[in-house]
Amino acid sequence: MILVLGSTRLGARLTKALRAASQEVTLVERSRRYLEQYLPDDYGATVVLGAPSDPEVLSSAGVDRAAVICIVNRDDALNVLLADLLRSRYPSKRILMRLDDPVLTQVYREGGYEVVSPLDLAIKAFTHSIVAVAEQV
Amino acid sequence: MFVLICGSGKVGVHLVRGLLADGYEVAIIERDEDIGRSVADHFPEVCVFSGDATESSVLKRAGIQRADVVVAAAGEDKDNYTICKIARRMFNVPRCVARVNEPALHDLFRGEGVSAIINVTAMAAQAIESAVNS
Repeated sequence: MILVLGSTRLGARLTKALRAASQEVTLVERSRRYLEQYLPDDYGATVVLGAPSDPEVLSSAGVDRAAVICIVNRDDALNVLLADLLRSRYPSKRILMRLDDPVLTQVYREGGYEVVSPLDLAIKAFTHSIVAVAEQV
Repeated sequence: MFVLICGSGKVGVHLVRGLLADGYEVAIIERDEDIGRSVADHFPEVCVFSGDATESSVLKRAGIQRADVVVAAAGEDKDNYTICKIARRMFNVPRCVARVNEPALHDLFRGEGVSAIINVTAMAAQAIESAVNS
């Protein structure tokens, strides 16, 4: 089971993509509005409404069974706190986290976390496309 | 001694007054522009930076590189944790003081080398309790 924390645009689409890849997914989100806004009707995942920092919420989401925890909120500060909190509580779990701030990304990569930075990926893709096109001209 | 205060609010304003009286150099990062302007009007000798103190670029602009003490006094624990993390890990700030609301998070802050943890709500509750009991 993959535990996704945060039903942002990224969290909702990640959930759908993982489901399409036949993964079992549980999604935890505090805001009912985000769930309604981003989660499509055919998401096919278990949804738990509650704060991801709350041990009871995580336990009811089945954190013990999770093979991977993905922390994908839009707020770097929230993701930072959750990542360290979860690592202290579940030291053997694999944690993937989303961060945009370049300094925090460096700190967490050095700390052994797997960090995905949407901003970094977008910049690389743009630069690559532009430079590749420029070289052809 | 240079003290960088992140998040001013009411606690911050009282703190600035005390620190200036003791001869400290003080700078403030404040997200809310109105609060920032009012702090700047009150304390002309204090540099007020407008922005989000959880962003490393904002901390750098405010001079975190040379801070002797960072005070993380924002309203939310996650923001104060991130401020302390950046201060300790990237800028080797010798002393961090944080305002923390949730007692379950105290160990996490201590693990990052935060020297002092202030729980405003618990302190207020204690003060009221002892006043009631006296």
